[in-house]
Amino acid sequence: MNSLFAVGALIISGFFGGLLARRIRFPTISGYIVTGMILSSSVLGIISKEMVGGKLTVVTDLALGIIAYLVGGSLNLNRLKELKKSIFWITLFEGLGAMFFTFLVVGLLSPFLLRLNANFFQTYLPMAILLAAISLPTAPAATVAIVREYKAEGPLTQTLLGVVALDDALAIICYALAAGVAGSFVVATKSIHWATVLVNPLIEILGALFLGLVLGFALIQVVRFVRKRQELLILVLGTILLGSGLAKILHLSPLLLNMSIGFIVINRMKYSEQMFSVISDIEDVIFALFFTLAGAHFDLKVLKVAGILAILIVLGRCAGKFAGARLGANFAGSSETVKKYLGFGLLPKAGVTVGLIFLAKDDPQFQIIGNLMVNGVLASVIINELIAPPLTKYALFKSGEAKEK
Amino acid sequence: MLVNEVMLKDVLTVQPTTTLTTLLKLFKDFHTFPLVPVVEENNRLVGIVDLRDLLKISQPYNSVSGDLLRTLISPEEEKDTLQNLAFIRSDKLILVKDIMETSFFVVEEDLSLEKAYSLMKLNQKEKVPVVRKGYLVGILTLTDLVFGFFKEKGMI
Repeated sequence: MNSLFAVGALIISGFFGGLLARRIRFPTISGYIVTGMILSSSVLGIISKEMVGGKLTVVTDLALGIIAYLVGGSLNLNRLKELKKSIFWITLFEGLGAMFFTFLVVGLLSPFLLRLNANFFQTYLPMAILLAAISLPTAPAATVAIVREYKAEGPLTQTLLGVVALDDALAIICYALAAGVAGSFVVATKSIHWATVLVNPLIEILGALFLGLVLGFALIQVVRFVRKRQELLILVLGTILLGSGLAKILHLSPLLLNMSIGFIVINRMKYSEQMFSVISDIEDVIFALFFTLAGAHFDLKVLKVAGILAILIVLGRCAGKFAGARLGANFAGSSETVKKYLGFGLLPKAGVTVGLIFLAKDDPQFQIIGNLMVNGVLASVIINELIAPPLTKYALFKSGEAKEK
Repeated sequence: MLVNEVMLKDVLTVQPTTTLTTLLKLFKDFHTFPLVPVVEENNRLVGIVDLRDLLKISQPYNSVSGDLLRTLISPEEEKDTLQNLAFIRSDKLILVKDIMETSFFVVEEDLSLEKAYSLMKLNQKEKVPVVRKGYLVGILTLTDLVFGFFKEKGMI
């Protein structure tokens, strides 16, 4: 089978999967992922394993670049100034809380539960570090849908939306750090030099930020020649791809690099709305392809082990989100309602989570644990989407901010 | 020629605390719903309302954090459908600040017409508020631009 057929099949079936998901009131993303699973080599076998891990990785890279660019573009400093200070603290606490607890749960329990017959420092520890960072982001789609459906308003809703908007950026930064640290454990043969554990990630992060800055300013200069919206798309998309490619060559974080481009464009260009809205003209097809392809990584053979891993991720992440949100709300002096219920609203995850796990999988350093982690995270995303919406609903009603429909 | 030479200076505006009912009555007799700038008492531009905002009425997007969210990926269903209007209860007090867009495209008054036109084209906008350092001074439509060009040629 050729890759064009695969892409066509993924898009078209993804469309119907998304349609069906919305019918039964699930997020579109879960429809895409489940459709991909059905097409995967483990079920219908329409999309072969070689295809998923080979030619089609370019789709993943493109989608990741776009996601990161949009996240960077959401960091408009002028608008961030209008957010309450408490939101920044709560984001930091809930994000790092989720990371910390996932790290603990996966790191401590997986050696006993997964029984992979592997070295702790070269397998379990890097896996725990990566999965911890991947557990940080929260997906806005599900939360926003519930807030809208029940017309919730009040401090809890405002804090929830603010935190959800910010933690993707935090996740990308933390993932870059985590990947560097985890990588130095994997490649270490005898002894680990603590200097390399810390210096390498730092070089990767600063390098990516700097290169993103350069490309961002270059893009701003070049778009002066643009006359048509379609031409603008050429330049923006081209720059994103160029950035991702350069990051691969130079071993920098492609997400951080593209986030940095988006950040420069939104903050350093006078009229910049079109630089982002032009992407939304094409993002639907790319994301449909991306998430359906993500589902196609489904592998029955690792399902048992991945299932256990998924439960560990969900447990660690939930505990971390609750504890972190509460601690952060305490620290920021938020109201009792926010302290009590914010954690419930932070459970949904999808887009950036799926993006980060593929970045980890495509990294040659993590080849051995990649497949297991992908299946574990995909399963945890699906578990999350089953349990999170009712909990968000519960929190909004308990706090009195949601009204009877 | 600059934007402030052709723009419409006499603009109908509303305030954030104007009620939806007042807004609707104000524009009931217009053939199309205009772009309505929302200004504070000192004329500082804080938002805009257009027809789409009326359709997106039951969304939690009326805040700074909502604006931040909108740029992030969320492949969800169509946001502006007539079904949204079914959720509104006629007795609920809805204010302009609940539905206005707080992140919007504006042009500065001292921009050249060519530049303004090119920006409007890139953003797919036919009308846009004109500001001087964040304060509303007018509205620029495609009509004003086209008339401006002809005026420059001495044809009007």
